[in-house]
Amino acid sequence: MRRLAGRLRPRARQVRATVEAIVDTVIRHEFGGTALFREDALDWTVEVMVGRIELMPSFLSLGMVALTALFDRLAQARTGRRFHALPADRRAALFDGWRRGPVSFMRDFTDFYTKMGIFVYCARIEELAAEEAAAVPLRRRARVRGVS
Amino acid sequence: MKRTLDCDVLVVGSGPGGATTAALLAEAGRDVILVEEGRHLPLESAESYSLEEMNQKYRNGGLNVGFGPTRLTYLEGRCVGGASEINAALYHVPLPDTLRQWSIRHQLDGMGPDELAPHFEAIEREMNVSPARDGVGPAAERLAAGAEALGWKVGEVRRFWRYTKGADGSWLGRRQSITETMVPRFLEAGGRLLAETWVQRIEHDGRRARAAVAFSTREGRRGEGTRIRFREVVLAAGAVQTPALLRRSGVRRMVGDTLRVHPMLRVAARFPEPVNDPSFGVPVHQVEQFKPHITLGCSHSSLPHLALWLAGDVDERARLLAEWEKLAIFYVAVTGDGRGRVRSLPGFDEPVVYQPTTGRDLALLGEGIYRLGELLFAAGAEGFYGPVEGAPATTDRRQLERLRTNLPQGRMNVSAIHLFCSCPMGGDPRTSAVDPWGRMHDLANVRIHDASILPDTPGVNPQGTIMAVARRNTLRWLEA
Repeated sequence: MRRLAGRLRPRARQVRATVEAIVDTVIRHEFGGTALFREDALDWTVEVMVGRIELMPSFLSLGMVALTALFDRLAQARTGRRFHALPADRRAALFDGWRRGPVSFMRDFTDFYTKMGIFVYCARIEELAAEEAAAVPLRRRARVRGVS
Repeated sequence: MKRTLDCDVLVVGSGPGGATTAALLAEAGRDVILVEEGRHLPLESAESYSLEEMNQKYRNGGLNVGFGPTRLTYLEGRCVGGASEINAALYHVPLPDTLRQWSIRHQLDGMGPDELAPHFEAIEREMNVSPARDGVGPAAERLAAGAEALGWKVGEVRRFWRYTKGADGSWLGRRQSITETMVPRFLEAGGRLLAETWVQRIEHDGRRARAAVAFSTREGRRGEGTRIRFREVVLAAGAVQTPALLRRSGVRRMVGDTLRVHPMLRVAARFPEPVNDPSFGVPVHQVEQFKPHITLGCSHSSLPHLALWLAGDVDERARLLAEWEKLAIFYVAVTGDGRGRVRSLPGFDEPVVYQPTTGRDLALLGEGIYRLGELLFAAGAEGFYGPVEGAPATTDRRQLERLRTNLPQGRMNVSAIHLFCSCPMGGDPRTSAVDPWGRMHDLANVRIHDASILPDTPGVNPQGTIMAVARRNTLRWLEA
C-alpha cells in the first residue's frame, strides 16, 4: 500500500515524466510554429503544473495522479510504449484521440491539461516578455555608454 | 493539544463577514481571537489575477470543482481578508425588491432596504466605496456602447477604491480590501489574529459549543494543535467551509443542503480593432436591464485568462491569441436555482460540493448568452468564442438563437465566484439554520456571519451585503 501511495504522488518520477510529456504535447500542438511558442517556458510550465496538482483538494489530486499514471499505461497497451516514452508525433495523435474520444472522464482529463497547461504557459510567456521589455532600456543604456 | 487559548469570542474566518464582526466586537472591549486558515499577506504581495496570487491567496490554487451534471469550477479566498483580497472589489447593494422579498419569504425582521441602509452607508464609508476616477478601459466602453445602442440600462459599478489627488492634480487610486480596513481596526483594538490556523471541529454538547480544535497550516501541512475555548463563536469561513466545519462537528440540520450560486458563463469576443488594455484592470460596467436574474459584464482579459476561456475552436487558439489585444472576455451571470450540497468526506480535510443545474438555470443562462451576443454584435464584435467547449465561433443571429434554446449542459464551462445560502437565515427553524440575527437555532452560542446565511441569491456581488448584515447582527448582539 505504502509503495502504491508513494507512486501516486505528483512528484513521483513516472508521474512527473508523464506530466512533462503531456505539457510538451499540448504546448507544441497549441503554439508550435507560432510567434507565441517559447521553448524556455516549457520547464517552468511543467513544474507549475505538478505544483497545481499538489494544490488540488486531496481527493481530486489523488484522482488526477491516478488518471495520469493510467494514461501513461494505456499508451503502452496501444503502442507497446508508455506515453512519456513515445516520439512527439505519436504522443500528439494519442492525446488528440482521447481529447475527441467518447470517454467523458478522459475528455475531462485532457481538458484539464490543455486548459491549465496553456494558462500556466501563457502566464510564463507574459512574464518573460515583461522581463525582456524591462531589460531593453538597460541594454540600450549599456550600449550608449560603451560607445561614448 | 500542544496549547490552549481562551477568549470571549472566537471568530473563524477573516473575510468580509468575519473581520467586520471581529473589529466591532474588539472595539466594544470583547476579548476576540480571529482565526484564518490562510496567510496574512499585504494586498500587493502578488499582481491581481496572476498565477502567483492564485498560489498565495486562493483555496487550492483556484482549483475547486463542484460535481453535478454541469462542469462547475468555483473560487474561494484562503488568506487574511478572504475573497476581498482577490475579487474585483465591486460594490453592490441588492435591489430593494430583493431585500423586501427576503424579509417576507424568510420572516426576517429588520432586513428591509430602509433598515439595512445605515449599515450599507457605514460600509461604504469604511471601505471607501467610489466610482472610477481614472478611466474605465476600452472593453467596458464597448459594453456600455452596445447596451446604449440597444436602449438597455447600463451602469458603472462603484468599487472599494480609495482615491487621493497627486501633485499634478491627477487621481491616484488604491484598491481597498479587508487587510486594508477591518483587519487594522481589529488589531488596533487589541484583537488577536491567528493566521495559518485551520479549525478542524467545534466541540459542543448539542446545545452549546465550548471550544474549537485547530491546527497550524504553516508550510502547507497540518502542524501543532491548539484548543481554543470561548464563550461565543462566530463562524465566517464562507458558504462552503462554514457548513463543512459544522458537519465535521456533527451539526447537520439545515447545514450544507441548500448551497446556491450565481452560475457564470464566459465568452471571448473578438473585435476588428484593439479593445484590450490590461492597464485598466477590471472593467466596471454592467448591464442592469435584466437584473437581478441576469447580469452582463466584462472581465479581466490578460493573455493567460484569454487562453483559459477561449473555449471555442481550440485549433484556432494560437492564431487568435497572437492578436490578443482584439479580444476581451465578457460574461453572463444568473441567479442560480439549484440547491447544492456540501459534504465532508471521512479522511479528507476538504469538503465535496455537489451543485445541480435546474431547467430554470439553463433557461436563464441561454437567455443571458443570447442577450450578451446581441450586445456584442451591437458593440461591433465580429463574433465570440465559448461558452460551449469545442464549438466554433458564434458570428450570426442564427447561431445565437440556437445557443438561446440549446445550451448543451455537459459541454459548458460554468464557473461561480459567488456562493451562498448553505446555512440560511430565517424565522422558521424548520427551514433555516440561523435566526434572523445570525444565531444558530440548534447551538445557542454559535453565530454565522458570512455568505452562508443569505436566504436567497442576491443577484449582485455579495461582499457589501455580507458586511452590512454582519454589522447589523453584531451591533444588535452588542446592544443586548
